[in-house]
Amino acid sequence: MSSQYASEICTLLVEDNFGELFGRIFSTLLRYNRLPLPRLKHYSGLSERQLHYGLAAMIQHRLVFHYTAYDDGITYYEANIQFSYYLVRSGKILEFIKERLGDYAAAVMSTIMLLGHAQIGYLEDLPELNAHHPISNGVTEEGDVDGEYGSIKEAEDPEGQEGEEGQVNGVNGDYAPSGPSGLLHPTLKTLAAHGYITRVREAHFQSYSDNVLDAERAVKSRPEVKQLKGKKLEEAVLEKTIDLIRERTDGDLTHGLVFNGVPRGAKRSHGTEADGPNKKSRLNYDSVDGDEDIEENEWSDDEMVGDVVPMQLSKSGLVVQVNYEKLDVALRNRRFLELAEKDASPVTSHIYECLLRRIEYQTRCCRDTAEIPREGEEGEQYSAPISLTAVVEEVDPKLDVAGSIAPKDISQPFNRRGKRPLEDGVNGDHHEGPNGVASEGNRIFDIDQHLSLLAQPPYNLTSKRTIGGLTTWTVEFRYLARKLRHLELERMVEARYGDVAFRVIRILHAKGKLDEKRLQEISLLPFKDLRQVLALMQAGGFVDLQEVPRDAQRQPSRTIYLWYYDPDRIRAGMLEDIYKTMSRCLQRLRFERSRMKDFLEKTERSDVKGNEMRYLSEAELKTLQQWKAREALLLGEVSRLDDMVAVMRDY
Amino acid sequence: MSRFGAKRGRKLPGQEFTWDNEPGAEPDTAPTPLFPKYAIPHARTLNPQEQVQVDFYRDLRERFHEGPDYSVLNTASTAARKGEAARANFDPFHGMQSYSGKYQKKQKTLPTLQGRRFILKFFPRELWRVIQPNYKAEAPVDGYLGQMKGAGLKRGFEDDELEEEEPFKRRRGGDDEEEAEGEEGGEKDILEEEEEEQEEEIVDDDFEDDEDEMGGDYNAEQYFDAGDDEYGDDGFADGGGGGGDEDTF
Amino acid sequence: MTSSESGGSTAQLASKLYDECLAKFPPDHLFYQQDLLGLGVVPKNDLGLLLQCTQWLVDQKLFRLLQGKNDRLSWKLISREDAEKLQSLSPDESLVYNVIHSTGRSGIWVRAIQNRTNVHKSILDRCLKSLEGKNYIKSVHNVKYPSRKMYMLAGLAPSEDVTGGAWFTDGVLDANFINTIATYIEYTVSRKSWFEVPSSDGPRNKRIKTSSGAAVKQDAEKEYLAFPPGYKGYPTVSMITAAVNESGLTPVRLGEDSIAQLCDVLCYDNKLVAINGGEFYKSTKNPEAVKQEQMRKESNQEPADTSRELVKNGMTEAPCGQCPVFKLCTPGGAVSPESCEYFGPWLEKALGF
Repeated sequence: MSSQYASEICTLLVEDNFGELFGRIFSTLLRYNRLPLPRLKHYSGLSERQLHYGLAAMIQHRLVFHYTAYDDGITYYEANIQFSYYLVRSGKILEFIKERLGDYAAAVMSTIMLLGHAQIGYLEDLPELNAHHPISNGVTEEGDVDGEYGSIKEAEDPEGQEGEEGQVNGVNGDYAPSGPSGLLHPTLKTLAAHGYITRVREAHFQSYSDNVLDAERAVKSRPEVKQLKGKKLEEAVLEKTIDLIRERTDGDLTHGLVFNGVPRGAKRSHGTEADGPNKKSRLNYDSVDGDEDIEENEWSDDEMVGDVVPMQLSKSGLVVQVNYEKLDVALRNRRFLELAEKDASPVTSHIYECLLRRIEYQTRCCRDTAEIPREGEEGEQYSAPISLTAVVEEVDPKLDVAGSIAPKDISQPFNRRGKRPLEDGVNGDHHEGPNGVASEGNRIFDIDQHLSLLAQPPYNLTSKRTIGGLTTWTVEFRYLARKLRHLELERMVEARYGDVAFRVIRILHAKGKLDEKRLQEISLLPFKDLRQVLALMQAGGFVDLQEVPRDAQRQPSRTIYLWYYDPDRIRAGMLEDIYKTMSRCLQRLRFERSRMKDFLEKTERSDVKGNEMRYLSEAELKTLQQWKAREALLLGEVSRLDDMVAVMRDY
Repeated sequence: MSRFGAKRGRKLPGQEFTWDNEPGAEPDTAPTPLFPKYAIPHARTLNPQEQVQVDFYRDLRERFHEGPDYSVLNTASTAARKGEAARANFDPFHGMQSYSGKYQKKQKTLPTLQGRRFILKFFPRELWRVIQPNYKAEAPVDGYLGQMKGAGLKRGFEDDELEEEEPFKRRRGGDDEEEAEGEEGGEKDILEEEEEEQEEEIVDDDFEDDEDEMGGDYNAEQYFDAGDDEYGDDGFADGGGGGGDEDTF
Repeated sequence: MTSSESGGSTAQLASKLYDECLAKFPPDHLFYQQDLLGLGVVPKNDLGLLLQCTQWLVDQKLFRLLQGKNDRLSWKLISREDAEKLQSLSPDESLVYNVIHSTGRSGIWVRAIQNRTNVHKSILDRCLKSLEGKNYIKSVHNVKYPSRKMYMLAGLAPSEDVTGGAWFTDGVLDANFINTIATYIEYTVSRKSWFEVPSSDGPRNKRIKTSSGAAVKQDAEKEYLAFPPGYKGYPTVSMITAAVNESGLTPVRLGEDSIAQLCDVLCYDNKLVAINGGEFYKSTKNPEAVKQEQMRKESNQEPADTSRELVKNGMTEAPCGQCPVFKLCTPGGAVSPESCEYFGPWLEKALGF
């Protein structure tokens, strides 16, 4: 399942974040796929104790799957390549959360990541999340981390009790608005409502194939299934297995937290547009606290009903984890938005962002299939339709939506601030507000116009649907995901081989297989240039030549040569190259670090850290700063490469 | 001509397909340099958004490093593979302890499990005793066992097996500790030993505490404590080699 | 005598017939028997007489005998000058000339002439040489079969199939010409694709920012707005063609087909976008951006940072992305991330230290 380079980068990531012990266990599991403890011990050369501790901690971080066979009771361990890979995306996710939901939410998320999965009750006890002043910038002071684990021991019993009491108070709406735990719960709920965190289920700790086996076994033993035979049996098993897996792995927490398609605690996108003073208090605590009573109850009610395991532990026993699937949806929307920003006006992009946000709320994952389907074999898949009025609601009311589209008729005098006369009179009864803002009807029409603009080629970022007389807007996910992929590949071609190659690739992509002559006619390129660029691209693996002999002798002179471009194949190869490049960057980073080892160890000494100004000379400070910049560039590069992986693999 | 021929004879396979067929490039007949010149691309500087992302990554990574799970492999540990010259790697200049060593970042060789709350049902049974030292099969621990049973029932089709498995697996957990000392334990040994060791399992209950008090066979602490009498007997072999020159971060 | 008399009268009658045809029909008309009789020149619609006349005209090379629909006989006029030319030809030459004539603007391959005339190769060569010498025919270059020797009448312009369209000069793609026209088209289309905000409105303060926080349009001297969806003012192919032909950039008039072809190429270049399936064209960049890009290309400068970013992604900017020894690179190998000689300069280039 996992290729050489995917394994390499995942092992590196595990090592980079958790050290060599995890790395050794992880790479051994990757190499041998699935091992029981004794074999693992044998292959890894680690002691039993190292394995016990290591595996336990790795399971906590969901880096390792485990599965206990029913027949022999032997527990097998397997590397979780997906989750280990997601380590690389942590920075991106946290930055996204910060942008969307503020610093504190990012801090909470970061802590959940730190813990692998976390019980709500446990989070309640963490001093870092309950500090009076939310940690700025989502970055924890070093001291806090130590304190955190130190305090856990004490917190274990009596404190936990108190935490629950705090909860009870919360239910009654007795939160002190700025009190320590006042922030945590609303934030967690907001994260849950957005789907950014989900409940951890036992099935999550088994690999997908093990879950399939389990579910199949369970389904087959059901009395009503046992009666079936032949084809019917197969079908029933298949269908019910899928259902059962879905049921077992479903960690959805959004239920009851989404109102009118908007998650609880979501801030309007124009919240982010606000400047200066508002920016700091993005999290609108007032409103959150305002409806605390009702929602708190819903949260807990839902808890009791929805959970399969009876909750004897009070609701704080709920265990949550980061929902990478959903975050991929959000990050993918960001890419779509970037496409829009390239060509469209800022106003149009903003409106697109509003639409995408509404869509994100209703999209669970990027696609239904595990693998990206082959080109041309992929069906259309539209997002949930969002009614125009919902988009309008989302758009910043202060935004001038009229002045950023040109008049239909150039001869008309053009005025700013929405005073443009609507010559086609879509809304006959339009009248302007006192301060020159167009009326509601015009506003809806204008926003619709912006969305229509986005629907145009080349990107077709939106599409309009009228459902029962109601105008709605959707996004064709698969088409756009493909578009992103093609753009990345085209970008590679253009950067490597120039704009001639870019043209050729796009022609081959649009027209299919072509012989040289036809290709020249369409591309209007001189033969010399054309041949040269084709040969280069063939060497680079971007185009291929198919030979179609016209007779059985297969003489070269009687053979037609067709050039073609196969994005699927290139994508697969490219993905490997990207993994490899990521690995090289991380390895280089490690090497660079080892070159400065002594110096860096000095800066990390417990007495120096945090007191750099006092202990380090000016030259040293400069070296440190340069090192940080170098590290940042290499990590940033890895993160950019990850953007490509996301496009080629996840979206 | 003959020169060409001679060269061709020595040409590495695949060399004709290398990068040098760029337009205008001269044909490469010289031995390939290890790192041929090429126009190294220019990386964009990180934009503010990317900078934030990188900082978040670094921050989280640092929290992992400071956290309970980050652990390195100790070359001096029993796990060092034979043939891997761990001791030969000892750095006589930096391996020595120095006063400032006490400020040096300490590196663990095992994750710290103690004092953390684990949710038993998410872990395989053979590890329960590791993460919950006072775990006893019979008594429900913090209600988790009850849950586990509930979860087991939910599966429906395998309760019987489950009940049978329990003692069996616990036994295995006990054995594992024995194995820790004797290096090359295989599956068969465990199965054989199981019979004999059945009675011993109660003793194993405080296996965790023992380990923690002894500090195991790794020497992070030892290393720093030993800072005063750095010329102690095994200062080189054990303390120095382990703490100092592992190439990790 | 009677024969000569009748011959004389036939000649007179035929001349009259020829003049009438010339006067009453377009030169390219295909005459059937009825058309000729309808002129009322031949008395009593005497078919025999008509036949004699047409035969005489054909002999005089004033008429060309053709086979019309349903195998009926039909004729076409030949101008007197051409007839004179033809009369001076030897029978072989005449034969060859007619074959070449019949293929019109597509021209004909020498071997095909030989097949159709059954004239011996050496004679054919002599005929072709003499015809070419008299400037009656010319050899043409066919883009599709560059190695074939082809001929067509000297007075005809080769069809686009032969030349490959307006973009070929002597069968070779004229890249410079194409680029000139393409540049012109992009700019022209661009000017009609964006609405330039009248400067009286003044540069708008940029209170709208993208999510990344960066203002999209910095101090916009000129501000361009997109036209609303369904806008009909985008240029069509015929508008573009007209503009190109008036621009003085092209020595020959370019047809709409050629321009459409070039517009398609510009679409592949991602410079234009076809709207409504090619009814209109719209440029992806606004005029200002087009101008800058084109100026940059002309001066062959390093691309500006912004435009360079468009072709950048993680792979293209990583030192490994185009590394010549990428395939060989393994940790611990001779080529390895540790020994890599590219990372150092790469970091230095980006960071400046």
